[in-house]
Amino acid sequence: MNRITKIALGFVIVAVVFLPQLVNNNYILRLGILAGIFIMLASAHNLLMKVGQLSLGPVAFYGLGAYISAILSTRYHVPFLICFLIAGVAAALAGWGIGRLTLKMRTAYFVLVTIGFAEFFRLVALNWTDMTNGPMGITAIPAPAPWFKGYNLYYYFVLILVGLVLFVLYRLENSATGRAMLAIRENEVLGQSVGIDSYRYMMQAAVLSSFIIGLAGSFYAHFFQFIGPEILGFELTITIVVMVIAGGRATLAGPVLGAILFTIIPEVLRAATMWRMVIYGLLLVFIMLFTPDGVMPALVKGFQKLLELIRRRNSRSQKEVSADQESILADGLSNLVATINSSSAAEAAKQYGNAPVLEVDNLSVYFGGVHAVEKVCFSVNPGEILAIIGPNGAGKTTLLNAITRLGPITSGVVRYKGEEITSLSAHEIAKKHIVRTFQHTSVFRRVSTRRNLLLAHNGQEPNGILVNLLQTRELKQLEEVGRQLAEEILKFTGLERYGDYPANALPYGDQRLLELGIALGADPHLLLLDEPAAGMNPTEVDNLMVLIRRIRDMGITVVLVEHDMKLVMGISDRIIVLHHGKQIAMGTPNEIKRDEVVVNAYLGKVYKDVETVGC
Amino acid sequence: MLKLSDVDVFYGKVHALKSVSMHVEEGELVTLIGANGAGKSTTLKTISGMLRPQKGSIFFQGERIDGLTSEKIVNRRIAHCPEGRRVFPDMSVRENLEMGAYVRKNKTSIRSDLEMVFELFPILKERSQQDASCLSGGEQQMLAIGRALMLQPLLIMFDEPSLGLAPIMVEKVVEVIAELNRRGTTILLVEQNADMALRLSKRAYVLETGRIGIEGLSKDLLQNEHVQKAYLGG
Repeated sequence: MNRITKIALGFVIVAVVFLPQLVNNNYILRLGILAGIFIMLASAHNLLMKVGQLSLGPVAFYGLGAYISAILSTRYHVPFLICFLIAGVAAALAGWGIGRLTLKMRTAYFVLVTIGFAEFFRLVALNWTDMTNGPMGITAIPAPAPWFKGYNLYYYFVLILVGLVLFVLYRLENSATGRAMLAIRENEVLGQSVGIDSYRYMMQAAVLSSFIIGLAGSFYAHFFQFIGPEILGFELTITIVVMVIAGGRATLAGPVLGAILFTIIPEVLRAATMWRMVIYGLLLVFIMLFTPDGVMPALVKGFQKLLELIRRRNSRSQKEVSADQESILADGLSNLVATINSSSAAEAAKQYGNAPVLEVDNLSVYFGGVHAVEKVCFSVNPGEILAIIGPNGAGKTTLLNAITRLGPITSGVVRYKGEEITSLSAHEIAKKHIVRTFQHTSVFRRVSTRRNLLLAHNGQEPNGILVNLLQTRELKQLEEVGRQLAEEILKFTGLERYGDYPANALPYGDQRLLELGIALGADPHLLLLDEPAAGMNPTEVDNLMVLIRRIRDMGITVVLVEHDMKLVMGISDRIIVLHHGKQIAMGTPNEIKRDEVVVNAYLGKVYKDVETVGC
Repeated sequence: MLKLSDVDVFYGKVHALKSVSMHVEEGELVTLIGANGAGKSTTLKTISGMLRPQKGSIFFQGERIDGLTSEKIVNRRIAHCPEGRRVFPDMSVRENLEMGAYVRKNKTSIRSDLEMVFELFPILKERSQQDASCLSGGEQQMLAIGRALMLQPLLIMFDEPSLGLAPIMVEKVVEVIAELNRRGTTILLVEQNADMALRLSKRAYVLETGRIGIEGLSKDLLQNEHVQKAYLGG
């Protein structure tokens, strides 16, 4: 944040804090209070969107909070603060329940269930007349305290509440939790492959989001002192979603701005009476048309451009960013491998001894009638480079997917260091330091290169919400390790110049390199590479061979699927050949090259003149 | 047939192509090689209208095409077979192929081209009703090539057709490209597998950090010391 932004922000905060003194107008204060409620709703809703889930039922938690608080205080005369907390906890519990039911199924189901849930609550509020007074609603809800009079107090109450909520969300966003959520939104599978437990983070988001919304509901009830089933209507949901999207969902400030804008705009438009909704609709269309990422990012961008204009006027010289680059795989890569928690891999290797690291026992994967992998058996020795080759569609990637549990296993057992890992989930396998890369380039596309590498380390960082809120020393230390590692990987992959560019702006080959960097950033002891040389020219492949050997030398065991025979024959200790899901051969490179069956099924006649590079 | 003059392309601030000039004559098979990030794919994307040059011009059959949208360029029968086997995963093989003929009107000639593609790749005929996502990598690559052929193109641009294919499949793709060229289709080939590309083509350009570094007959480039060291793996 630069100076000008800080000054501007300071002014805004002062204006907001002294609003009651500045305007002394109840109508405006009331709008301020409403905006505060909406900021809570929109920010909490945005939290769910941050893990890529669209809920269309925030009003369910809002209504739940409001009704529980209203019923407790009118019928049982429970003091406000207790009602308020119970409302939050009840909503959080409901959020937890819905999450348990639906988050395993994801997206479309989640959207549908949340709509249904909101409608269910509306019907309960409408029909359980004994408790809720049905369509009449609950009236005469007491103020938070007898002395709670005038809008000023409510205004400051909501202001503090909003401040707390935003503080919590800000802390989370800038912690391991925030990064993990970003990883899940950008590329969930890759996130899992570096050890990020997406289900857990989604549950955290669901619970915290509904807790905040429940609190907002309770406050709403005690402020208006009347609630009816209307607050459970679909219109409010739409309003909240509009606030988040129009404001800008990528940022913390976006939903805040969205909430303020869409509290004020309908009020301003009141003057236009019958044209009100038409103008409102048109305005919405224009906002989405001209600022598709939301108003806030557009404002920030405009502001940055302005600053740049000023700066450029001051200094004419502008550095041109050039795409000049030599071969991407610099020799310095050896140093990278040295700095990678190689100590961790080497140490583990030393302690482990010579028994096979990975044992695959009678593994089969069937997709309906297709036998993609059929009773495959092999083991990988520590410090070995094992290649898996075979025609396209032979089941190589399916095999890697099965081992890392990103794909199904029909039968068979996989053991890592003697321990069965078949029943673990993908992120748990990554936490055991088994890390893989993907055949189709898989990076966090819209995230900067540097941040990509930070996300890679995320699986090794604590995922508890409290740890991340309090930012414990342990967390800070781990974050620091991740940061240093990221810098080292950047430096020695030669990707440093791209540090601040989003990954999808990188040329294809560099994205592949970044992918390898991400895998290394996750601190692997066993590295599974899916076609690492695809899209590299022979010279680059030579460099890659050097790199893979160095990775092995640091104590990391390597399994690779590859079509580039120069690489496979050049660096593998052993080769396994798959064909139609079955293992048709296994042996050293020289044995495989002479295998008649392999030559016919896979290598083809051209292969004959390729020389083997010494190992 | 195709002529690029002093083409400059930027990705944001990154200067990706620096005054690139090249030409492809009718019936020729020309290849473009270079390191990762040198601008090979960018060149193809610029020709097919997915990127706009900031400077320079592109002529196809004597008419200027830079600045036209991709659809208009496809209408001139320039097919672009992109990197990484892009297919429509939820459409059947046949539907994928029919999409390739989207801009064509004549139903009978579309049908005969479909037969031609099936004859070239019998496996696609076998699997014509399956979803493209069920195909193996090599089959998807054939499908992508087949789809490009369905345009009845005057010029086909291949972006790394051998990427991720088993050696035996690479042979097959090489045969197909050579066969297409024999049948008279003009081809611009981008390939990391520089050795294969230079053996297949007549002429070649070497892109180095956005500039054309070397150009000449492929057989000469194969002997060129710099090319050997930088792209053929010494």
